[in-house]
Order: sequence, then structure tokens, then C-alpha cells
Amino acid sequence: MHRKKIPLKVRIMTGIFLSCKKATELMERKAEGNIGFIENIQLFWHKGMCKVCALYEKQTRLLNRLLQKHLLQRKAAPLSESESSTLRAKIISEIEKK
Amino acid sequence: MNYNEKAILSDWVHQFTNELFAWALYKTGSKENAEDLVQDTFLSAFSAFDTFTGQSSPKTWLFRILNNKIVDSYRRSKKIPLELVEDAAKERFDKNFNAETGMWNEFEAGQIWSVEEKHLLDDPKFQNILAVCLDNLPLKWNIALTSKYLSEKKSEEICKELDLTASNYWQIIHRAKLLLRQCIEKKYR
Repeated sequence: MHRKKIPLKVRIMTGIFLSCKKATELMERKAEGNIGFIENIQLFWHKGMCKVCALYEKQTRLLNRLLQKHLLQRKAAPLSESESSTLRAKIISEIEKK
Repeated sequence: MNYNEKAILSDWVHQFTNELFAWALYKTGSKENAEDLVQDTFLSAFSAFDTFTGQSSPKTWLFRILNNKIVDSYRRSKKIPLELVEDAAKERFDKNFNAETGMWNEFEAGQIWSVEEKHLLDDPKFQNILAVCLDNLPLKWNIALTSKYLSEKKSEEICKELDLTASNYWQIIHRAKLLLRQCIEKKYR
């Protein structure tokens, strides 16, 4: 029922050239090389027609770089060697008790 | 047999404790909790040793146990069920798109996107906002996203650690990134 309300133009657009929802998902896959040949072409055409998605891709890529650096900065300092060996010894003795 | 298992486990303790600890500390923010979680992880691994099939590497298997422990401990400490948090986040995500066509409903591009990348990296205000927005994500999404960008692990490995299918994983990354973008956009004014 609801389908009929969607204009033909929009149905063709989303069927062949993807919806924005799908396109933005494919951008994430593409960043890791996880995208099919056809999907890649569809995404290319979608971005050509949809300025918002083209902009979103720029922003999500920037976000990738910012996120990576942010997380590295925040990553806690690892254990010191003596703390590490104490913890390891403790865990092994717990296993031995079993 | 039992002796053999203990020897293998001890070997893993020596190999992986530091990495597991660093991750647990990062996720919980407390050394004490992180130590407990790592110890629990190895004890669970010992009890469940029979179920380790060798299909994934020991490290992946241990990280999977640890991630489950992190989720469990989070579940115990929070009053709001994790499922509700996730449902609310899904709803916020869905509002971005027309339910029938999947086209953008509205899309704001505020001033943050015209700020230079270098400036954002050094800006404590922005780093703070990013931290808050990451914490606003449902825990599982947060773990998936931070695993992806912090450890440079391949998606297949993260899926195994979090017990997700590939399509589930990409859906989570997609939703998490979109909500993160939106959150930053709203807060950075």
C-alpha cells in the first residue's frame, strides 16, 4: 500500500543508484575494501547525484582520522614489567588451584 | 591431560596478559577491575578449554571471552538495561532517513566541518566532545568501533571477538559512525 506513494523517480533512483541509507553504509565498507564491483559503481553514481552523501563521505573520512588519533592518545599506559609479572604469577597460581 | 591444559594456559598467560590488560583497562578505566577481568578471562578459558576448537587463534578466543566479561560487568554496574540503550540509539539513527525511501530526512552541516583538521586534533574541547559522544554509544557499538580504530584489527577478527556476523558488524559500524557524527555536530558549536 505504502509503496505506491513513493514517486517512480525516487524508486528508480534508490533501486539503481541506492538509497542514502545504503550508500552511507557502503562508504564504511569501502573504506576497508569490503565492497563489491557493482556496489562500488552504484555508490559512485549516487555520490554524483547526491550532494549530501558526497559531503557525508568527506566528513566520515575525516572522522576516521580524528577517531584513530583520539583513541591512541587516550589509550592507557601498559603495565610495567614488574606489575605484569606479578599479575601473570597470580593468574597462573589461580589456574594451578583448579 | 589436565597437566597439559595448564601448561598451555600458562603459556597463553605469558603471551597475552599485557594486551588483554591494556584493552580491559582502556574499557573500564580502572586497574583493579582490569586485573580482575583478565584473571577471570583466563579462568573461564581454563574451564571452557574443551570448547576451544582452534578455528580462531588463542588470542582472538581470549579477547572474545574478555569482551563478554566487559559487557557483563557493565551490565551489572548500570541500572538501564543495555538493550534499551541500543534500541534508543537505533531509533535515533533511523530518524535520519525517510522510513520508506531511505533518503536523508534532514542533514545539518555546522561549523565544525570548516575547522582545520590539525586544529581539531589539538583542541581539548573537541577531544572532550569526542570522548563524550563515544560514551553515548551503546557499549557493543563502542567496543566494535574502538576495536576497529584502535587496534587496526581486520573486521573478520573483530566479528569473531564480538560474536557478530559480518552484516551485523557493518550495520553497527555504519550506525555508530553516523550517530557519532551527529553528536559531534550538535555539541561543537
